[in-house]
Amino acid sequence: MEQLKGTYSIYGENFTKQSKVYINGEKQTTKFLNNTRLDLKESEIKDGDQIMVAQCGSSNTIFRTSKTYEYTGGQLVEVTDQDTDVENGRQAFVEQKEEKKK
Amino acid sequence: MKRIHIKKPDVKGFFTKVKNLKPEDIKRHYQEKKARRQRILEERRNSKFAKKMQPVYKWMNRFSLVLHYLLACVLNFLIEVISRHSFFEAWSYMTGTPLVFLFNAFLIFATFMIVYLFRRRVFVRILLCVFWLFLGACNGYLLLKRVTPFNAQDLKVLSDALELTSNYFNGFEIVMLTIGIVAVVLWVISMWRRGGQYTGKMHRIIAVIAVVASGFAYVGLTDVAIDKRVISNYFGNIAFAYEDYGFPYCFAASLFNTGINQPAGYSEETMAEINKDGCLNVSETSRSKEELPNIMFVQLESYFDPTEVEWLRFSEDPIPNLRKLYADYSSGYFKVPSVGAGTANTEFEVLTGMNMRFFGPGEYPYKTYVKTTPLESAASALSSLGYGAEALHNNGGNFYSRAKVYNNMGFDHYTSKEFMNILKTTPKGWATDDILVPNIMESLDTTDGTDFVCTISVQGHGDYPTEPTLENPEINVTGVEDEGKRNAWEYYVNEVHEMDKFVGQLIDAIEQRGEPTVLVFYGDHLPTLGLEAKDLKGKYLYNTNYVIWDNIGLEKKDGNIAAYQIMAEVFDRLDIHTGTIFNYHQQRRQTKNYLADLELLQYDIMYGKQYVYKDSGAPITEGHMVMGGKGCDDHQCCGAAERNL
Repeated sequence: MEQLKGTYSIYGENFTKQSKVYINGEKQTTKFLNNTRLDLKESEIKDGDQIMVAQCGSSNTIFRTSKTYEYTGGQLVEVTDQDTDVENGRQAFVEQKEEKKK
Repeated sequence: MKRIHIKKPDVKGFFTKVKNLKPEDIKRHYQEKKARRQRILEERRNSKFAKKMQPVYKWMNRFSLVLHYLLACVLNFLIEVISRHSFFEAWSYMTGTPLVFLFNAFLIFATFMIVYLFRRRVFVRILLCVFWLFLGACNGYLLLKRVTPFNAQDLKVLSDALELTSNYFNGFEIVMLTIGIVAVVLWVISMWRRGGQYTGKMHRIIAVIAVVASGFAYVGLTDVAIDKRVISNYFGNIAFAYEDYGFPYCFAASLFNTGINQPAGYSEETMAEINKDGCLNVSETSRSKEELPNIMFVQLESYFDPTEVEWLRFSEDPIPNLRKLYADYSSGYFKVPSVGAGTANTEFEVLTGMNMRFFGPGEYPYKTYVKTTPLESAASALSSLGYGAEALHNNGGNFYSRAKVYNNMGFDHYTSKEFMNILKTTPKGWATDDILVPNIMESLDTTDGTDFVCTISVQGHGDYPTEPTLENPEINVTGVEDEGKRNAWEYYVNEVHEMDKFVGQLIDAIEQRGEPTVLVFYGDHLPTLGLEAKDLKGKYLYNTNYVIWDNIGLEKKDGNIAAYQIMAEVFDRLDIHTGTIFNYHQQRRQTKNYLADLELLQYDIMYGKQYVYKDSGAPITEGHMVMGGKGCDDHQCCGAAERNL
């Protein structure tokens, strides 16, 4: 399944041009279609992948993150891990450094 | 003269050569190249010309200090030519205020002491010349685009600036700039190899002492110059300061002189006297919870009433909504700390009640202080009375580091461009202000009860294109002879007209909502359109306009207000007394030593021992802000990930 090339669409609310999808903590090339839909053209999603949407500012600042979802059989299931939930929406000043490793 | 022969390229030979290439050949090639280079340099050194010049060089080395000073004068003059975009203006600056000129040259001269630390003196001199001229060029370029000259804060906001590169430069300019920089770098590198080297005995310890001594000499000379009123250490207008006191001094001042110096007489006793019986620490109001209105401040980017310009003519009034507000509600001139730029400083004065004049010349306290340190503000002051504190800005959340600044000021939420579904932009790429209306309304919903909402608009941001940009401008502007200038004014006036529409929409939306509300509109500074004091009806470059709209029947009371006083004034009219600085304004305005004590208070809170907080505790010790205004839980709910093949 992960060998096939296609486009994933993420549906939600309040998306903007600065919404970026993260898969397992890695920023993806995200195309903003409208405020309820984001498209991923170059990404591969496997079962068990953790998916999250973040609002990003300049210099790789993550202003705010959504809840984390797990991809299972074409569905997104909310991850109810207490550790990530408590900090939800309060990560405005987490500088994102992983990007540079690429 | 040699004839030019065009040889037929020996393609076949080239390939056989490459095929039979051995590592030793390559090595030998480079060795030969190196030897050849050494030989050429040697020849040059021993050439007739060099031999003839040797006594001259010797003489020049002996009198290098004097020559350095002359070079410094030349550099200083070039820098001013670039900064002023005019040889003649630089000339009249030099001849008009020779002491200022020589003082600035001394600063450049002082940096040339470094030369004696190195053998490659010519190279180091070139490097210093390039360094100073580069700073001058930066200043010259920035002054083409805005009125605030190049200062130390620009180095700190470099990250913002890089992002805005495409707004300031076009593609062609970027290419030319890159070529120019690469060429200079290559030339400097070549001079590292070719430049003359000092062959005499080195006195490095003496050189180090000289560097330190010249540094101290500069500081001492600065004090003398300020004392003798040759220069000033307060810049009423950073742009005029650069013109009057010269680029090198002003740039250095902006680099080394930031924050508030301890005022004379600062002590625990003085502060106790100013804060008698904790009168500044109160947080109270006679209004009941239901009677407290929402308090909203809307800062309009580069807004002022364009009809204030004496010679402009309009096909119709560009600000019908605001004009009506001026007639019906409290309004007047709004005295701001900046002209043509410096949005964040007007904002700082409004939100904190602090006066910019006590800070370093050309300083942005947002960058030098609030970005990293909590500071009480209208947000924290009103929070203590149960208000929610919301901030909005339809440009990048990191611009002027607002995401960090608002957090440190005690805001609850900050909705920046990244959280707005922006569909419309101006022809210059800034978000239009109408997007703010629904977002302001949403921000009122985020917290229960009354809210303090601070909105920073961006639509009117410069620069204003001199080529025709709007296809069918709603307002036609006349009265400007130069067609380019007229285009710029027409563009600006139509953006102001759009702001006026936004003002109307916002008031409609608030009236529909029906909550008791006080709404303040003001401009942050005049636009960058080359205005002079004589062009304006008010004859003053630091005046924009404000109006205080309300739906709770406040009395109309016109008058001119300074940016650092307006928050206290609005609170006073609502019988709200909260926030150390705002209480101070309410109690001490128009009393003796008002400004001197304000300086002490600002120093105490920001850089001193915080004696005013001694008994009451600091009003804010850390931020708690969340980005984005919408409800915390349902923001960006991902419903499903679907795969379209």
